[in-house]
Amino acid sequence: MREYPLAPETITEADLVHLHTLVEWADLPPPAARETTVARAVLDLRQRAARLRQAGLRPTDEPPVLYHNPRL
Amino acid sequence: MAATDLPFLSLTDLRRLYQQRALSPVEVTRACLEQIERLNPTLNALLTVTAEMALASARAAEERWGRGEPVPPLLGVPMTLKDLIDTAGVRTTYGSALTERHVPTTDATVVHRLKSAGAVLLGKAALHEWAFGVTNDNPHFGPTRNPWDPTRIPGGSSGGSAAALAAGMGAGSVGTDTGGSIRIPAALCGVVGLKPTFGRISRAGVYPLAWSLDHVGPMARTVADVALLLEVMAGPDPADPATVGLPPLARPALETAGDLQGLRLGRPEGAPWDDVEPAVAAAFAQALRTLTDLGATVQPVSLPDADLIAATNPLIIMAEAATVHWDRLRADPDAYGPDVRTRLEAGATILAADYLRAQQARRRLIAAMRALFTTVDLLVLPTTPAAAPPIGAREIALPSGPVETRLALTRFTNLFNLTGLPALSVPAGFTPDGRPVGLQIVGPADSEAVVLRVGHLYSQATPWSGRRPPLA
Repeated sequence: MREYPLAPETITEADLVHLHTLVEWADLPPPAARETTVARAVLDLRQRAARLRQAGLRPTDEPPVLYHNPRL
Repeated sequence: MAATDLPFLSLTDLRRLYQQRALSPVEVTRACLEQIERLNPTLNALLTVTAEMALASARAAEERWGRGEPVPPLLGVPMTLKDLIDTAGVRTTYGSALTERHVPTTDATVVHRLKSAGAVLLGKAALHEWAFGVTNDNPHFGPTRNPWDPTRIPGGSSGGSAAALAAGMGAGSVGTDTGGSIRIPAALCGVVGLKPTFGRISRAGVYPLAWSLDHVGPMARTVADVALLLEVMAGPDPADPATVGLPPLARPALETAGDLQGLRLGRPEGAPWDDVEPAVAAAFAQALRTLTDLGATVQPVSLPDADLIAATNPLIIMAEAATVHWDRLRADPDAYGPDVRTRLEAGATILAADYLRAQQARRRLIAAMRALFTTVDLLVLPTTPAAAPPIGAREIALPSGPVETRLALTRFTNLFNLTGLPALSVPAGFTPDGRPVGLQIVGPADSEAVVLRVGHLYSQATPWSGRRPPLA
Protein backbone atom coordinates (compact mmCIF):
# COMPACT_ATOMS: atom_id res chain seq x y z
CA MET A 1 0.00 0.00 0.00
CA ARG A 2 1.57 3.26 -1.08
CA GLU A 3 1.42 6.19 1.30
CA TYR A 4 0.18 9.45 -0.22
CA PRO A 5 1.25 12.11 -1.00
CA LEU A 6 3.84 10.47 -3.20
CA ALA A 7 7.11 12.25 -3.81
CA PRO A 8 7.05 13.04 -7.56
CA GLU A 9 10.35 11.23 -8.20
CA THR A 10 8.94 8.00 -6.74
CA ILE A 11 5.83 7.84 -8.95
CA THR A 12 6.02 4.76 -11.17
CA GLU A 13 4.12 3.28 -14.07
CA ALA A 14 2.70 0.77 -11.59
CA ASP A 15 1.18 3.64 -9.60
CA LEU A 16 -0.56 4.92 -12.70
CA VAL A 17 -1.82 1.47 -13.63
CA HIS A 18 -3.17 1.06 -10.11
CA LEU A 19 -4.88 4.43 -10.26
CA HIS A 20 -6.37 3.54 -13.61
CA THR A 21 -7.92 0.45 -12.09
CA LEU A 22 -9.66 2.73 -9.63
CA VAL A 23 -11.47 4.35 -12.54
CA GLU A 24 -12.58 0.92 -13.75
CA TRP A 25 -13.61 0.09 -10.21
CA ALA A 26 -15.86 3.11 -10.41
CA ASP A 27 -17.67 1.20 -13.17
CA LEU A 28 -16.80 3.61 -15.93
CA PRO A 29 -15.92 2.50 -19.44
CA PRO A 30 -12.17 1.94 -19.91
CA PRO A 31 -10.51 5.12 -21.07
CA ALA A 32 -8.30 3.18 -23.51
CA ALA A 33 -5.50 5.31 -24.88
CA ARG A 34 -6.20 8.08 -22.45
CA GLU A 35 -5.50 5.94 -19.41
CA THR A 36 -2.35 7.82 -18.52
CA THR A 37 -4.14 11.16 -18.61
CA VAL A 38 -6.94 9.89 -16.43
CA ALA A 39 -4.56 8.12 -14.07
CA ARG A 40 -2.58 11.31 -13.68
CA ALA A 41 -5.78 13.23 -12.88
CA VAL A 42 -6.61 10.59 -10.24
CA LEU A 43 -3.07 10.84 -8.89
CA ASP A 44 -3.43 14.61 -8.62
CA LEU A 45 -6.61 14.19 -6.57
CA ARG A 46 -4.99 11.57 -4.33
CA GLN A 47 -2.11 13.92 -3.64
CA ARG A 48 -4.43 16.75 -2.75
CA ALA A 49 -6.54 14.49 -0.53
CA ALA A 50 -3.40 13.37 1.27
CA ARG A 51 -2.49 16.99 1.95
CA LEU A 52 -5.89 17.52 3.52
CA ARG A 53 -5.35 14.48 5.74
CA GLN A 54 -2.23 16.23 7.04
CA ALA A 55 -4.06 19.52 7.68
CA GLY A 56 -5.11 18.57 11.20
CA LEU A 57 -8.81 19.13 10.59
CA ARG A 58 -10.76 18.77 13.84
CA PRO A 59 -13.91 16.64 13.72
CA THR A 60 -15.69 18.50 16.51
CA ASP A 61 -14.81 22.13 15.76
CA GLU A 62 -14.66 21.74 11.99
CA PRO A 63 -17.60 19.64 10.84
CA PRO A 64 -18.11 19.40 7.08
CA VAL A 65 -20.09 22.08 5.30
CA LEU A 66 -23.00 19.93 4.19
CA TYR A 67 -25.61 22.62 3.95
CA HIS A 68 -23.68 25.66 2.91
CA ASN A 69 -24.68 28.95 4.52
CA PRO A 70 -21.90 31.51 4.71
CA ARG A 71 -23.88 33.54 7.23
CA LEU A 72 -23.65 30.89 9.94
CA MET B 1 -27.08 59.34 -31.58
CA ALA B 2 -25.43 57.13 -34.21
CA ALA B 3 -27.08 53.77 -34.87
CA THR B 4 -23.76 52.09 -34.09
CA ASP B 5 -23.93 53.47 -30.54
CA LEU B 6 -27.27 51.89 -29.70
CA PRO B 7 -25.97 48.40 -28.87
CA PHE B 8 -23.56 49.92 -26.35
CA LEU B 9 -26.02 51.96 -24.32
CA SER B 10 -26.17 50.94 -20.70
CA LEU B 11 -29.28 49.39 -19.28
CA THR B 12 -29.73 52.47 -17.11
CA ASP B 13 -29.45 54.79 -20.14
CA LEU B 14 -31.89 52.66 -22.11
CA ARG B 15 -34.49 52.95 -19.40
CA ARG B 16 -34.09 56.74 -19.25
CA LEU B 17 -34.26 57.15 -23.03
CA TYR B 18 -37.32 54.87 -23.30
CA GLN B 19 -39.01 56.93 -20.61
CA GLN B 20 -38.27 60.13 -22.53
CA ARG B 21 -39.55 58.47 -25.74
CA ALA B 22 -36.16 59.35 -27.24
CA LEU B 23 -35.58 55.75 -28.21
CA SER B 24 -37.72 52.68 -28.74
CA PRO B 25 -37.11 49.09 -27.62
CA VAL B 26 -37.66 47.91 -31.20
CA GLU B 27 -34.95 50.24 -32.50
CA VAL B 28 -32.48 49.06 -29.87
CA THR B 29 -33.34 45.37 -30.29
CA ARG B 30 -32.87 45.67 -34.07
CA ALA B 31 -29.49 47.35 -33.55
CA CYS B 32 -28.38 44.52 -31.24
CA LEU B 33 -29.59 41.87 -33.69
CA GLU B 34 -27.63 43.58 -36.48
CA GLN B 35 -24.57 43.55 -34.25
CA ILE B 36 -25.11 39.82 -33.65
CA GLU B 37 -25.49 39.17 -37.37
CA ARG B 38 -22.27 41.07 -38.07
CA LEU B 39 -20.06 39.75 -35.26
CA ASN B 40 -21.37 36.41 -34.05
CA PRO B 41 -19.96 34.46 -37.01
CA THR B 42 -16.50 35.60 -35.84
CA LEU B 43 -16.96 35.51 -32.07
CA ASN B 44 -19.32 32.54 -31.62
CA ALA B 45 -20.68 34.23 -28.50
CA LEU B 46 -24.27 33.04 -28.98
CA LEU B 47 -25.33 29.48 -29.72
CA THR B 48 -28.97 30.36 -30.38
CA VAL B 49 -30.39 33.70 -31.55
CA THR B 50 -34.06 34.33 -30.79
CA ALA B 51 -34.56 37.20 -33.22
CA GLU B 52 -38.29 36.82 -33.86
CA MET B 53 -39.12 36.33 -30.22
CA ALA B 54 -36.94 39.33 -29.30
CA LEU B 55 -38.66 41.61 -31.81
CA ALA B 56 -42.09 40.49 -30.64
CA SER B 57 -41.13 41.22 -27.01
CA ALA B 58 -39.63 44.57 -28.04
CA ARG B 59 -42.83 45.55 -29.87
CA ALA B 60 -44.91 44.63 -26.82
CA ALA B 61 -42.55 46.65 -24.62
CA GLU B 62 -42.77 49.63 -26.95
CA GLU B 63 -46.55 49.52 -26.80
CA ARG B 64 -46.43 49.33 -23.00
CA TRP B 65 -44.02 52.26 -22.70
CA GLY B 66 -46.43 54.21 -24.92
CA ARG B 67 -49.28 53.78 -22.44
CA GLY B 68 -47.50 55.98 -19.91
CA GLU B 69 -48.22 53.59 -17.05
CA PRO B 70 -45.71 52.48 -14.42
CA VAL B 71 -43.47 49.87 -16.04
CA PRO B 72 -41.23 47.10 -14.72
CA PRO B 73 -37.51 47.88 -14.39
CA LEU B 74 -36.16 46.11 -17.49
CA LEU B 75 -38.99 46.81 -19.93
CA GLY B 76 -37.55 46.57 -23.45
CA VAL B 77 -33.96 45.89 -22.37
CA PRO B 78 -32.24 43.36 -24.67
CA MET B 79 -30.29 40.65 -22.86
CA THR B 80 -28.63 37.27 -23.33
CA LEU B 81 -28.53 34.25 -21.02
CA LYS B 82 -25.83 31.64 -20.55
CA ASP B 83 -27.00 28.47 -22.26
CA LEU B 84 -26.91 26.56 -18.97
CA ILE B 85 -30.15 28.28 -17.96
CA ASP B 86 -33.49 26.76 -18.96
CA THR B 87 -35.73 28.79 -21.25
CA ALA B 88 -39.20 27.47 -22.08
CA GLY B 89 -39.52 26.78 -25.79
CA VAL B 90 -35.96 27.90 -26.56
CA ARG B 91 -33.15 25.40 -27.20
CA THR B 92 -30.87 25.04 -24.16
CA THR B 93 -27.76 22.98 -24.90
CA TYR B 94 -25.74 23.17 -21.65
CA GLY B 95 -22.79 23.32 -24.07
CA SER B 96 -23.03 19.60 -24.80
CA ALA B 97 -23.67 17.50 -27.90
CA LEU B 98 -25.82 15.24 -25.73
CA THR B 99 -28.36 18.03 -25.21
CA GLU B 100 -27.86 19.87 -28.48
CA ARG B 101 -31.59 19.73 -29.30
CA HIS B 102 -32.93 20.02 -25.75
CA VAL B 103 -35.88 22.40 -25.48
CA PRO B 104 -37.05 22.94 -21.88
CA THR B 105 -40.73 23.28 -21.16
CA THR B 106 -40.30 25.70 -18.26
CA ASP B 107 -38.21 28.76 -17.51
CA ALA B 108 -35.57 28.80 -14.80
CA THR B 109 -36.65 30.95 -11.85
CA VAL B 110 -34.16 33.62 -12.85
CA VAL B 111 -35.57 33.73 -16.39
CA HIS B 112 -39.08 34.06 -15.04
CA ARG B 113 -37.95 37.01 -12.93
CA LEU B 114 -36.21 38.72 -15.84
CA LYS B 115 -39.16 38.22 -18.18
CA SER B 116 -41.55 39.57 -15.53
CA ALA B 117 -39.29 42.61 -15.32
CA GLY B 118 -39.71 43.15 -19.06
CA ALA B 119 -36.35 41.93 -20.40
CA VAL B 120 -36.07 41.04 -24.09
CA LEU B 121 -34.20 37.77 -24.75
CA LEU B 122 -31.81 38.05 -27.70
CA GLY B 123 -30.33 34.58 -27.44
CA LYS B 124 -28.42 31.96 -25.50
CA ALA B 125 -24.74 32.51 -24.80
CA ALA B 126 -21.96 30.00 -25.45
CA LEU B 127 -20.21 28.26 -22.58
CA HIS B 128 -17.56 25.70 -21.75
CA GLU B 129 -18.98 22.17 -22.11
CA TRP B 130 -21.34 21.64 -19.13
CA ALA B 131 -19.78 24.82 -17.63
CA PHE B 132 -16.85 22.66 -16.50
CA GLY B 133 -13.89 24.77 -17.60
CA VAL B 134 -12.69 28.32 -18.07
CA THR B 135 -11.64 28.57 -21.73
CA ASN B 136 -14.97 28.28 -23.63
CA ASP B 137 -13.05 26.17 -26.15
CA ASN B 138 -16.05 23.94 -26.71
CA PRO B 139 -15.47 20.71 -28.70
CA HIS B 140 -19.09 20.56 -29.88
CA PHE B 141 -19.86 24.18 -30.79
CA GLY B 142 -16.38 25.58 -31.42
CA PRO B 143 -14.41 28.14 -29.43
CA THR B 144 -15.85 31.46 -28.35
CA ARG B 145 -13.44 34.25 -29.26
CA ASN B 146 -12.45 37.30 -27.25
CA PRO B 147 -13.74 40.52 -28.89
CA TRP B 148 -10.53 42.31 -27.89
CA ASP B 149 -8.42 39.75 -29.75
CA PRO B 150 -10.23 36.91 -31.54
CA THR B 151 -7.15 34.68 -31.36
CA ARG B 152 -7.62 34.57 -27.56
CA ILE B 153 -10.12 33.01 -25.19
CA PRO B 154 -12.87 35.11 -23.59
CA GLY B 155 -12.50 33.11 -20.36
CA GLY B 156 -15.29 30.91 -19.11
CA SER B 157 -17.43 29.21 -18.49
CA SER B 158 -19.74 32.21 -19.04
CA GLY B 159 -17.49 33.29 -21.91
CA GLY B 160 -20.31 33.80 -24.42
CA SER B 161 -22.07 36.17 -22.03
CA ALA B 162 -18.95 38.29 -21.53
CA ALA B 163 -18.00 38.30 -25.23
CA ALA B 164 -21.56 39.28 -26.18
CA LEU B 165 -21.53 42.22 -23.76
CA ALA B 166 -18.15 43.46 -24.93
CA ALA B 167 -19.34 43.28 -28.55
CA GLY B 168 -22.65 45.08 -28.00
CA MET B 169 -24.93 42.06 -28.25
CA GLY B 170 -27.27 43.15 -25.45
CA ALA B 171 -27.06 45.36 -22.39
CA GLY B 172 -26.95 42.58 -19.82
CA SER B 173 -26.45 38.87 -19.40
CA VAL B 174 -26.74 36.16 -16.79
CA GLY B 175 -23.84 33.85 -15.99
CA THR B 176 -23.07 31.10 -13.53
CA ASP B 177 -19.98 30.80 -11.34
CA THR B 178 -18.71 27.63 -9.65
CA GLY B 179 -15.00 28.51 -9.47
CA GLY B 180 -14.85 31.90 -11.16
CA SER B 181 -17.00 31.45 -14.28
CA ILE B 182 -18.64 34.88 -14.12
CA ARG B 183 -15.66 36.89 -12.91
CA ILE B 184 -12.97 35.35 -15.12
CA PRO B 185 -14.70 36.09 -18.46
CA ALA B 186 -15.82 39.49 -17.16
CA ALA B 187 -12.16 40.32 -16.46
CA LEU B 188 -10.81 38.90 -19.73
CA CYS B 189 -13.46 40.70 -21.84
CA GLY B 190 -13.46 44.05 -20.01
CA VAL B 191 -17.00 43.91 -18.60
CA VAL B 192 -18.53 43.72 -15.11
CA GLY B 193 -19.62 40.50 -13.40
CA LEU B 194 -20.92 39.74 -9.92
CA LYS B 195 -20.93 36.43 -8.11
CA PRO B 196 -23.33 37.24 -5.28
CA THR B 197 -23.44 35.62 -1.85
CA PHE B 198 -24.36 31.92 -1.99
CA GLY B 199 -28.15 31.60 -2.08
CA ARG B 200 -28.83 35.18 -3.14
CA ILE B 201 -30.13 34.14 -6.59
CA SER B 202 -32.09 30.95 -7.25
CA ARG B 203 -30.43 28.19 -9.23
CA ALA B 204 -33.68 26.36 -9.95
CA GLY B 205 -33.74 25.51 -13.66
CA VAL B 206 -29.99 26.00 -14.06
CA TYR B 207 -28.09 22.80 -14.89
CA PRO B 208 -25.79 22.05 -11.95
CA LEU B 209 -22.03 21.70 -12.11
CA ALA B 210 -21.30 21.33 -8.37
CA TRP B 211 -24.27 21.92 -6.09
CA SER B 212 -22.43 23.34 -3.12
CA LEU B 213 -20.34 25.76 -5.20
CA ASP B 214 -22.75 26.93 -7.94
CA HIS B 215 -23.88 30.55 -8.05
CA VAL B 216 -25.96 32.50 -10.60
CA GLY B 217 -25.09 36.15 -11.17
CA PRO B 218 -25.54 39.26 -13.32
CA MET B 219 -23.14 40.56 -15.97
CA ALA B 220 -23.22 43.94 -17.74
CA ARG B 221 -20.99 46.76 -18.97
CA THR B 222 -21.41 48.95 -15.88
CA VAL B 223 -21.61 48.33 -12.14
CA ALA B 224 -24.91 50.24 -11.94
CA ASP B 225 -26.43 47.86 -14.49
CA VAL B 226 -25.20 44.83 -12.57
CA ALA B 227 -26.80 46.27 -9.42
CA LEU B 228 -30.12 46.71 -11.21
CA LEU B 229 -30.03 43.18 -12.60
CA LEU B 230 -29.18 41.79 -9.17
CA GLU B 231 -32.20 43.49 -7.67
CA VAL B 232 -34.45 41.86 -10.27
CA MET B 233 -32.83 38.42 -10.08
CA ALA B 234 -32.43 38.04 -6.31
CA GLY B 235 -34.98 36.66 -3.90
CA PRO B 236 -36.22 33.56 -2.14
CA ASP B 237 -37.38 30.57 -4.17
CA PRO B 238 -38.71 27.41 -2.54
CA ALA B 239 -37.28 25.45 -5.49
CA ASP B 240 -33.74 26.36 -4.30
CA PRO B 241 -33.51 25.90 -0.52
CA ALA B 242 -30.26 27.91 -0.37
CA THR B 243 -32.27 31.05 -1.15
CA VAL B 244 -34.71 30.78 1.74
CA GLY B 245 -34.36 32.67 5.02
CA LEU B 246 -31.78 35.20 3.87
CA PRO B 247 -31.68 38.79 5.08
CA PRO B 248 -33.24 41.18 2.54
CA LEU B 249 -30.98 42.46 -0.22
CA ALA B 250 -29.76 45.97 0.56
CA ARG B 251 -29.85 48.46 -2.32
CA PRO B 252 -26.46 50.08 -3.00
CA ALA B 253 -26.36 53.88 -2.88
CA LEU B 254 -25.14 54.50 -6.41
CA GLU B 255 -27.07 57.67 -7.21
CA THR B 256 -25.19 59.80 -4.70
CA ALA B 257 -21.63 60.92 -5.30
CA GLY B 258 -19.15 60.10 -2.61
CA ASP B 259 -15.78 58.82 -1.65
CA LEU B 260 -14.32 55.89 0.22
CA GLN B 261 -13.25 57.76 3.36
CA GLY B 262 -12.95 55.34 6.27
CA LEU B 263 -13.10 52.20 4.13
CA ARG B 264 -10.48 49.60 5.05
CA LEU B 265 -9.34 47.48 2.12
CA GLY B 266 -7.23 44.35 2.46
CA ARG B 267 -4.72 43.41 -0.23
CA PRO B 268 -3.56 39.77 -0.08
CA GLU B 269 0.19 39.37 0.16
CA GLY B 270 2.51 36.43 -0.33
CA ALA B 271 2.29 33.44 -2.69
CA PRO B 272 0.35 32.87 -4.84
CA TRP B 273 -1.41 36.23 -4.62
CA ASP B 274 1.57 38.22 -5.89
CA ASP B 275 2.41 35.72 -8.64
CA VAL B 276 0.88 37.72 -11.49
CA GLU B 277 2.10 38.73 -14.93
CA PRO B 278 3.72 42.18 -14.95
CA ALA B 279 0.94 43.97 -16.85
CA VAL B 280 -1.64 42.71 -14.35
CA ALA B 281 0.60 43.77 -11.47
CA ALA B 282 0.89 47.26 -12.96
CA ALA B 283 -2.89 47.58 -13.46
CA PHE B 284 -3.53 46.37 -9.92
CA ALA B 285 -1.02 48.83 -8.45
CA GLN B 286 -2.75 51.63 -10.34
CA ALA B 287 -6.15 50.45 -9.07
CA LEU B 288 -4.86 50.57 -5.49
CA ARG B 289 -3.67 54.15 -6.05
CA THR B 290 -7.11 55.11 -7.38
CA LEU B 291 -8.85 53.52 -4.40
CA THR B 292 -6.48 55.31 -2.03
CA ASP B 293 -7.09 58.61 -3.84
CA LEU B 294 -10.80 58.02 -3.24
CA GLY B 295 -10.10 57.88 0.49
CA ALA B 296 -9.76 54.16 1.25
CA THR B 297 -6.88 52.78 3.26
CA VAL B 298 -5.18 49.67 1.92
CA GLN B 299 -3.38 47.22 4.15
CA PRO B 300 -1.70 43.89 3.42
CA VAL B 301 -3.58 40.83 4.71
CA SER B 302 -2.91 37.12 4.81
CA LEU B 303 -5.46 34.86 3.15
CA PRO B 304 -5.94 31.21 4.17
CA ASP B 305 -3.21 28.74 3.26
CA ALA B 306 -3.12 28.52 -0.55
CA ASP B 307 -2.28 24.80 -0.42
CA LEU B 308 -5.42 24.18 1.62
CA ILE B 309 -7.52 26.04 -0.97
CA ALA B 310 -5.81 24.21 -3.84
CA ALA B 311 -6.49 20.83 -2.20
CA THR B 312 -10.07 21.57 -1.19
CA ASN B 313 -11.58 23.02 -4.35
CA PRO B 314 -10.95 20.19 -6.85
CA LEU B 315 -12.04 17.46 -4.45
CA ILE B 316 -15.42 19.14 -3.99
CA ILE B 317 -16.04 20.30 -7.54
CA MET B 318 -14.89 17.05 -9.17
CA ALA B 319 -16.76 14.75 -6.79
CA GLU B 320 -19.99 16.71 -7.15
CA ALA B 321 -19.66 17.07 -10.94
CA ALA B 322 -18.91 13.35 -11.32
CA THR B 323 -22.07 12.59 -9.36
CA VAL B 324 -24.14 14.96 -11.52
CA HIS B 325 -22.83 13.31 -14.72
CA TRP B 326 -22.53 9.70 -13.53
CA ASP B 327 -25.34 8.20 -15.61
CA ARG B 328 -24.71 10.20 -18.78
CA LEU B 329 -20.98 9.52 -18.60
CA ARG B 330 -21.49 5.78 -18.27
CA ALA B 331 -24.02 5.70 -21.06
CA ASP B 332 -22.18 7.84 -23.58
CA PRO B 333 -18.60 8.69 -22.58
CA ASP B 334 -17.52 9.57 -26.12
CA ALA B 335 -20.07 12.40 -26.17
CA TYR B 336 -17.86 14.30 -23.70
CA GLY B 337 -14.87 16.38 -24.73
CA PRO B 338 -11.52 15.05 -23.53
CA ASP B 339 -10.82 17.64 -20.81
CA VAL B 340 -14.25 17.38 -19.18
CA ARG B 341 -14.36 13.58 -19.52
CA THR B 342 -10.99 13.18 -17.85
CA ARG B 343 -11.99 15.33 -14.88
CA LEU B 344 -15.33 13.57 -14.48
CA GLU B 345 -13.76 10.10 -14.62
CA ALA B 346 -11.13 11.09 -12.11
CA GLY B 347 -13.77 12.72 -9.92
CA ALA B 348 -15.67 9.43 -9.81
CA THR B 349 -12.80 7.86 -7.86
CA ILE B 350 -12.81 10.34 -4.98
CA LEU B 351 -13.43 8.60 -1.67
CA ALA B 352 -16.37 9.79 0.40
CA ALA B 353 -13.97 10.39 3.29
CA ASP B 354 -11.81 12.67 1.15
CA TYR B 355 -14.84 14.60 -0.10
CA LEU B 356 -16.03 15.12 3.46
CA ARG B 357 -12.57 16.13 4.59
CA ALA B 358 -12.61 18.79 1.85
CA GLN B 359 -15.94 20.03 3.20
CA GLN B 360 -14.31 20.17 6.64
CA ALA B 361 -11.46 22.23 5.22
CA ARG B 362 -14.08 24.52 3.77
CA ARG B 363 -15.36 25.19 7.29
CA ARG B 364 -11.85 26.34 8.19
CA LEU B 365 -11.68 28.60 5.13
CA ILE B 366 -15.05 30.20 5.97
CA ALA B 367 -13.91 30.82 9.56
CA ALA B 368 -10.66 32.37 8.34
CA MET B 369 -12.49 34.73 6.00
CA ARG B 370 -14.94 35.72 8.72
CA ALA B 371 -12.01 36.57 11.01
CA LEU B 372 -10.34 38.53 8.20
CA PHE B 373 -13.42 40.69 7.73
CA THR B 374 -13.19 41.86 11.33
CA THR B 375 -9.94 43.63 10.40
CA VAL B 376 -10.85 44.98 6.94
CA ASP B 377 -14.14 45.89 5.26
CA LEU B 378 -13.39 44.47 1.82
CA LEU B 379 -10.71 42.59 -0.02
CA VAL B 380 -9.23 43.72 -3.35
CA LEU B 381 -7.11 41.61 -5.67
CA PRO B 382 -6.70 40.99 -9.40
CA THR B 383 -9.51 38.83 -10.78
CA THR B 384 -7.01 36.69 -12.67
CA PRO B 385 -3.20 36.53 -12.49
CA ALA B 386 -2.98 36.94 -16.26
CA ALA B 387 -4.93 38.51 -19.13
CA ALA B 388 -6.53 36.37 -21.87
CA PRO B 389 -4.22 33.63 -23.22
CA PRO B 390 -4.37 32.36 -26.82
CA ILE B 391 -7.04 29.79 -27.70
CA GLY B 392 -5.54 26.35 -27.15
CA ALA B 393 -2.86 27.46 -24.67
CA ARG B 394 -2.46 24.69 -22.10
CA GLU B 395 -0.37 26.79 -19.75
CA ILE B 396 0.06 30.40 -18.73
CA ALA B 397 3.52 31.76 -17.97
CA LEU B 398 3.50 33.37 -14.54
CA PRO B 399 6.59 34.76 -12.82
CA SER B 400 6.89 31.54 -10.77
CA GLY B 401 6.74 29.41 -13.92
CA PRO B 402 4.13 27.88 -16.23
CA VAL B 403 0.77 26.99 -14.65
CA GLU B 404 -2.03 24.98 -16.28
CA THR B 405 -4.50 27.49 -17.78
CA ARG B 406 -7.52 26.34 -15.75
CA LEU B 407 -5.62 26.34 -12.47
CA ALA B 408 -4.03 29.74 -13.19
CA LEU B 409 -7.28 31.48 -14.11
CA THR B 410 -9.29 30.13 -11.15
CA ARG B 411 -6.53 30.70 -8.61
CA PHE B 412 -7.85 34.06 -7.34
CA THR B 413 -11.55 33.30 -7.67
CA ASN B 414 -12.39 29.83 -6.34
CA LEU B 415 -11.80 30.72 -2.66
CA PHE B 416 -14.94 32.85 -2.83
CA ASN B 417 -17.01 29.95 -4.17
CA LEU B 418 -15.76 27.77 -1.32
CA THR B 419 -16.68 30.49 1.17
CA GLY B 420 -19.82 31.70 -0.64
CA LEU B 421 -18.82 35.37 -0.38
CA PRO B 422 -19.88 38.11 -2.82
CA ALA B 423 -17.19 38.98 -5.38
CA LEU B 424 -17.33 41.56 -8.16
CA SER B 425 -15.02 41.92 -11.15
CA VAL B 426 -14.70 45.39 -12.69
CA PRO B 427 -12.50 46.52 -15.61
CA ALA B 428 -9.17 47.83 -14.33
CA GLY B 429 -7.11 48.61 -17.41
CA PHE B 430 -5.37 46.91 -20.28
CA THR B 431 -2.10 45.16 -20.99
CA PRO B 432 0.22 46.99 -23.44
CA ASP B 433 -1.12 44.74 -26.24
CA GLY B 434 -4.73 45.70 -25.48
CA ARG B 435 -6.08 42.82 -23.36
CA PRO B 436 -8.44 43.78 -20.50
CA VAL B 437 -7.50 43.26 -16.84
CA GLY B 438 -10.02 42.88 -14.00
CA LEU B 439 -10.09 44.08 -10.39
CA GLN B 440 -11.89 41.80 -7.94
CA ILE B 441 -13.69 43.29 -4.93
CA VAL B 442 -14.82 40.82 -2.26
CA GLY B 443 -16.87 41.35 0.90
CA PRO B 444 -18.36 39.42 3.78
CA ALA B 445 -21.66 37.54 3.31
CA ASP B 446 -24.55 39.75 2.16
CA SER B 447 -22.35 42.82 1.59
CA GLU B 448 -23.31 43.24 -2.08
CA ALA B 449 -24.42 46.84 -1.51
CA VAL B 450 -20.96 47.84 -0.25
CA VAL B 451 -19.09 45.81 -2.87
CA LEU B 452 -21.18 47.37 -5.64
CA ARG B 453 -20.81 50.91 -4.31
CA VAL B 454 -17.03 50.59 -4.15
CA GLY B 455 -16.98 49.07 -7.64
CA HIS B 456 -19.18 51.88 -8.91
CA LEU B 457 -17.08 54.67 -7.41
CA TYR B 458 -13.90 53.01 -8.68
CA SER B 459 -15.38 52.69 -12.18
CA GLN B 460 -16.53 56.32 -12.15
CA ALA B 461 -12.98 57.40 -11.27
CA THR B 462 -11.34 55.39 -14.08
CA PRO B 463 -11.77 55.26 -17.87
CA TRP B 464 -11.97 51.46 -18.19
CA SER B 465 -15.67 50.54 -18.02
CA GLY B 466 -17.71 50.64 -21.22
CA ARG B 467 -14.71 50.70 -23.60
CA ARG B 468 -15.42 49.13 -26.99
CA PRO B 469 -13.13 46.61 -28.65
CA PRO B 470 -11.90 47.72 -32.10
CA LEU B 471 -13.91 45.14 -34.03
CA ALA B 472 -17.19 46.18 -32.38
